[in-house]
Amino acid sequence: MVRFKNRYLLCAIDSENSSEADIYGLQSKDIMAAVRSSLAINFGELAVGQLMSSLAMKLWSPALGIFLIRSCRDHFRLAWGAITFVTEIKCAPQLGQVRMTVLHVGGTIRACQKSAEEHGRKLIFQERNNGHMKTKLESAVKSTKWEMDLMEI
Amino acid sequence: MNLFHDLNVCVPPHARHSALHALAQLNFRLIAFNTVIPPSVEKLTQQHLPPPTPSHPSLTILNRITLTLHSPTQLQMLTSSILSSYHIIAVCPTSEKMLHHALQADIDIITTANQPRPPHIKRAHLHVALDKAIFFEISYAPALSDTPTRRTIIANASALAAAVPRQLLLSSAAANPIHLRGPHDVVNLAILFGVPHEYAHKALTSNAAAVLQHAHFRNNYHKGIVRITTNEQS
Repeated sequence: MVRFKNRYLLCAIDSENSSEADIYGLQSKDIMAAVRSSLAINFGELAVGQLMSSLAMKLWSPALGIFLIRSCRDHFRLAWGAITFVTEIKCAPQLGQVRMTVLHVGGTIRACQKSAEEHGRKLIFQERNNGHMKTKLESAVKSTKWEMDLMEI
Repeated sequence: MNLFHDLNVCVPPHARHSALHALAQLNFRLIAFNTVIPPSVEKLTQQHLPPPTPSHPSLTILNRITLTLHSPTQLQMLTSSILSSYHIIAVCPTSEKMLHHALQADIDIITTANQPRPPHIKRAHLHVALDKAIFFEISYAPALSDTPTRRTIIANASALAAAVPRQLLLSSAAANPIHLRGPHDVVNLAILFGVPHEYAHKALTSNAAAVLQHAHFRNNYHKGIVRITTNEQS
């Protein structure tokens, strides 16, 4: 008996009419619904069935615009393909078209956390360089459950 | 070489700035803006010269032209002097005969994957392409918009992956910046389309670099081999 293994996909979401408030209002179930329907359209019921038990959203950080999706290791490429093919979120038409890109693929949540921290750091650094620090970003980073020590930089 | 290249960005001039921003965010290092010449054009004129190229601190930006070859009268375009103002030359042949002609000419990329009925690539064509270091292109962005195009592209991509796995080039052909995807997402898509693992990554990195090298030699050397330089010291 071999242990059941997962893959965790850390993804970033970006939209056409990107305003901070719109992404902030997005709920994890809306994103999940978009990914599931893309999976059904592009890979069919077989893929939906195979990923049914394992596909789940483990974390959604609206401030950073990143989320973590779990999928079983055997079929994670299908889940990844479905994420790539997402162009819109039905529940949030105000966003226009969206882009979801995978930032990191890891075997554990911890590995993805590290990558997420790095991404968050990069984002804050960019915002500081641009001269307008989003206050929402600051407070949201503080409140994420991941205890990311982003504010030290 | 782990630098990612996107040799086909089709965004209209007003969206170029946001496309460059997105491409830099997505970790691309070299991109080429594409000018597509429709099949109705038979002769290249001054109006087909590349539009002014914007600059970006972290991206190298090139110009590429794609000639759509439909009838034999268009073949004169392949020797036009306008082509020398572009860095990369791609050809989109619509029939087998045109593919044959295109392979004889001095070009860098063959792009057939976006047509509903692409010309069949024979073994003989393949050998010519290998000898001349011509690459076959798969573009993913049109597949994001609607189902029929997606089917066409997946069908053509898997046919190309079976025929020429080593001579593939992955690019976006994105007309809208939001249709750009990250390099690793593209590699994953290619794997799903049936491109073998080891070649999928190369199609975005070293194969694209090979195209650039080929284009460099074509542009700067006579027949791709000889170059006359002046010795400044004497």
